[in-house]
Amino acid sequence: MNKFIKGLSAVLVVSMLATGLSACKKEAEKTTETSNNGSSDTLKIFFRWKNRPDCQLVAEELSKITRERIGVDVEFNFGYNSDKVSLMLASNEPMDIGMEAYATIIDRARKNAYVDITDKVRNEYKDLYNAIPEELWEGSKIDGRNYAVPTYKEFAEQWTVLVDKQVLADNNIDYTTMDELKDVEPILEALKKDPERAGFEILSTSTTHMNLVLKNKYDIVVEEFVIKRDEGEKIVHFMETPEYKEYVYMMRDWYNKGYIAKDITTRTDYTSFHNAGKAGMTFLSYHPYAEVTLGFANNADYQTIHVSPITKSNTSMMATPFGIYSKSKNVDKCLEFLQLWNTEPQVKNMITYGIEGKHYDLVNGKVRRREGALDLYKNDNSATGNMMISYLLEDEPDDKYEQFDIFNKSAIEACNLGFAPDTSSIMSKIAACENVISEYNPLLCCGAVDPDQYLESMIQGLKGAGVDKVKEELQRQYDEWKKNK
Amino acid sequence: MGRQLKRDSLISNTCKHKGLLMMAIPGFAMMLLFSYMPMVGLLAAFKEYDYTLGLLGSEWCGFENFRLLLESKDITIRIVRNTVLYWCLLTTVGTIMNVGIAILIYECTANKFGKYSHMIMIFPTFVSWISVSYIAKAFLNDGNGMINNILSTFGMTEISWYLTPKFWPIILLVVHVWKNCGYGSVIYLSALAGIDPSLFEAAEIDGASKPQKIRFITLPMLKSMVSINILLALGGIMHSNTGLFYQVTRNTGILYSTTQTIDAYVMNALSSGSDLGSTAAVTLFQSVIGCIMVVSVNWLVRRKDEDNALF
Amino acid sequence: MLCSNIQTSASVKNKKIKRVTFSQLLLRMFIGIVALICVLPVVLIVIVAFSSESSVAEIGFSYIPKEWSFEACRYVLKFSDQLIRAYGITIWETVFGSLLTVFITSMFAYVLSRRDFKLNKYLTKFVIFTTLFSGGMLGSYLINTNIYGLKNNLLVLILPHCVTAWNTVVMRTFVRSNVPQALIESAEIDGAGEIYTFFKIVMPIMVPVMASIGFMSAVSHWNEWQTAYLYLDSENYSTLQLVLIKIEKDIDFLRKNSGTLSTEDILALKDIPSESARMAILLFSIAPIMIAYPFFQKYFIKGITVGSVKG
Repeated sequence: MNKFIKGLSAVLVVSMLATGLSACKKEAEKTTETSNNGSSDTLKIFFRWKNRPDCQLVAEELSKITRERIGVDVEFNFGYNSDKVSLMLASNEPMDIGMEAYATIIDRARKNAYVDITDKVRNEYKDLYNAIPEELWEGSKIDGRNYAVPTYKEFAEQWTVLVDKQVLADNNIDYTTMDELKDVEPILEALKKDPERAGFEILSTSTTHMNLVLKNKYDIVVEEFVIKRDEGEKIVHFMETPEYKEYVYMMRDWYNKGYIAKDITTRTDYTSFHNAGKAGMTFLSYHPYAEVTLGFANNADYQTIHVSPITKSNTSMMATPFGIYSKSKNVDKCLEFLQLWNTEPQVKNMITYGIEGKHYDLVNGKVRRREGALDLYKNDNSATGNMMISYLLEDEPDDKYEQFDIFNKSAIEACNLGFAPDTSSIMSKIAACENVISEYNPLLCCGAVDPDQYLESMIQGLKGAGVDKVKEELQRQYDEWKKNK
Repeated sequence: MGRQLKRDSLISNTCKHKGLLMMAIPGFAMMLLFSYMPMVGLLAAFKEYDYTLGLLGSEWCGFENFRLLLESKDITIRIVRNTVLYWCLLTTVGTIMNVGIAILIYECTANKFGKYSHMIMIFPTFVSWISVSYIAKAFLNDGNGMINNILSTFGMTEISWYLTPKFWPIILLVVHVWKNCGYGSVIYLSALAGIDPSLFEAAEIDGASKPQKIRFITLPMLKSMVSINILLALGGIMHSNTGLFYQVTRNTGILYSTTQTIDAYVMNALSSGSDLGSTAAVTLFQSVIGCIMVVSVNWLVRRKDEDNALF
Repeated sequence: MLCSNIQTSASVKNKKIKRVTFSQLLLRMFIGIVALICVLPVVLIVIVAFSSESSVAEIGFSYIPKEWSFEACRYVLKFSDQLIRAYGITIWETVFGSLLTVFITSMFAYVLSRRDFKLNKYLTKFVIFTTLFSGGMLGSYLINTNIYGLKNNLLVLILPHCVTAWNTVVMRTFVRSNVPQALIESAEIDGAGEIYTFFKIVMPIMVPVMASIGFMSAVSHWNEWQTAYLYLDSENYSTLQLVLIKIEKDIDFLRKNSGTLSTEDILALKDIPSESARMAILLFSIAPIMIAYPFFQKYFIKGITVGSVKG
């Protein structure tokens, strides 16, 4: 027994020493770090993506440019999720620029996490302002102010169903007249006849496919609180509309007819549809050439069938904007850097693709990635700054960005574009409503349960959660906003 | 001697036991630094958090942040009921299993068999909750789930487990017991290892049978450990393991009526983690209820048997 | 005294072995079944980790896969650089973290167990209070980073959870019920100092509980990822679980978003074994701590002979 204690105390002494040493080492490292690049002239930029080995290398290369042009270094920080960023913002750690999402930026902007850049970009950073269409600046305002630089890419959205052209040809289906989800039934019927093909590729864990119906006629205010686009007057809850009722009964019907996988309730990812056979009918939020990309990956030649009009909405305009944290000590340098990022192809390309000659080569003006480069460095083109000035990938069509531009220009405006309601007083009611919805909606949406039984329960549940109070409050704010518009 | 102790004051008693004081200091300091200091964060429960003003500078907002839990009567009642009932179920059955296994293993330590068995029982502790959810799915799946396969071989109708709320209290109980029985018994095993063997010998001489020895020696030795464990666990009566209730159930909506607990609800509502005020409010709410429970139950236990009470 | 005790207990054992009766057999069978239930799902994990992805896709998790494959392990080994570093950090954290916990907690618990130390009335409440109220994530984060400067400091893995009320109270209970007051008093009469009494006389009796608390603390250090995720930005300081979670998240992210991914992502996705890789990941995290387990077990399943050292 004494051996145990002796051993224990011996190891403890060693461990204390080791701990002390490692702490000292850590301290020493920290000081060298700060003397190298921890000075106030380093901009710390935060991304959500997973970290990859060469991120710092790219940042160093980028710093060479920025040091020369605007006199600061940049530092990339990858792998920062929303919960961690919230805590870091509350502490006194230095942070400068951060990538945001629509879901969090409104809340954070109202809690003063971001610098208001409305006037600065319009007066002092004209290049930055001009690089991005004015409507995007206007569309990404929160309470009438700009808190972040929007990402210029395809900023409209359209919901689209994709079907293998082969299926349409084999069965002589005329798809040109289809412009709503319910029109596609003949295609599903045809798919069912081919046992090797997956049917309607949806999941019960996600309700994204509800957008195929919702976005056809409605614009979203908050979560499932919507306004009918044609009328633009009254805020309703989508689950209480006749369209929703029709939709869930249709899905139930399709489920019973076997258009939807019977084991839908336990499928967890889309790829499971392709493991066994050929592509069935899938869907996506469309942008030009999306069907080519997906078709290439799923080994199918897809035909698009658009089931909603092209619309510019608050969510589509505020996808992955970059804001400057209010605790940054270098707001002007940050803006200068964001200006470079959005106007200088060299900077944008480096952030997106890495270093030329190391991660990619230029072939006929297009990017050819080196083998294994994606494991070293990766950043999403459509979520990092002005996409329109970046190189194309080798296999992308030449006119991709022109098509994007046409797509953007042909979009109609959502009736509530620019209206960001203040939900602080109704936040908990919305959360309660969301809870009711997530209890019933996923299974109703994929037809796995009988709507006779569950639809009414959901609507009663929503009433109990205070859906009417939320509608009232949103309506009040909306009317006010409309009056002042 | 006893009277003498009573007479000396707190200060002189402390001075007399300088050695004890010194030994208590490291533990005391660690608790002060890492458990008490962070309690400042609970202020956020009453504040409208503002990033530029910081925790102390933000405006007070009363009980506004607590509305998250108390907004809808139906939901509040349901999640509180589920949390409390599951706590009772899991703690009771869990404790019985842990004590039972500890005693069984203790009876078997004469040979290697008991040791190896216990080692095997520890395995599930290391399986992360995400993986547990995958294993559960392998058993409960609709199409090729193992339980349904067995049911259909015996000609019984298959059950859609993930669509049927009524089975889930049992499923979750089984998963909980499976994951914790070996690990939870460790502490009781150590309590048993400390029993003075002369007690058993004396009983042997008196002609006590095995069940009698367990009943009159082993169980009483474990009594205070069990009582302390339950009292400590009472503080967490409003808490639940999100791994069990969020991941094993796959957060399936249709099962909410029997599986959703406070923590799982909050996780749904605050998934982006940006609402620091509400998070703090929920933590405080759970703590206050836990505190009331512990203080009152401890008072009851204390009246019966001072040795088994916490304080 | 010591010898005679062992002899008697040995003779007790001998008698028992002669009487390997029906009830003993029943007991073993029961333990065997419990162990089997515990191990079967773990066996499933091993099998799935070595099944081919297409087999998993087709028939789900199954004890009899259609095709065996090392693909999943190979995929996880792609991250071997990170994994080796993470093993280093995690082993360091586990060993030193649990040793420090055992050391500080046992001293603290011994002090709390002394009924003649008057300060205990307050110390106990001080300890219990921490189980009821915690500062929540925000509070700990602000205090640990802004005041203690623990951001990006490896000590953050060890210090904040070093002394917990649960460990302290459980140890206190053990000391109270297993260390006779007379032993301490007689040591004091012999003129031994408080510290000497603790280390030389009380500690040897506390070994079983120290081993089990040490084991439990080691387990929690081993499974820890949230602290590392929040406080250590550098990839070089990722703990094992964090690295594994990152690999899992990566798979998960690709799988769930395939509708909005670029061609490159989707092509990359095709090479990733998902479910089997998850299980392979699990194997990488279970193996080392299981190897360490028997070391602890030796001390808390000593059974009858342990107590005989006292005296």
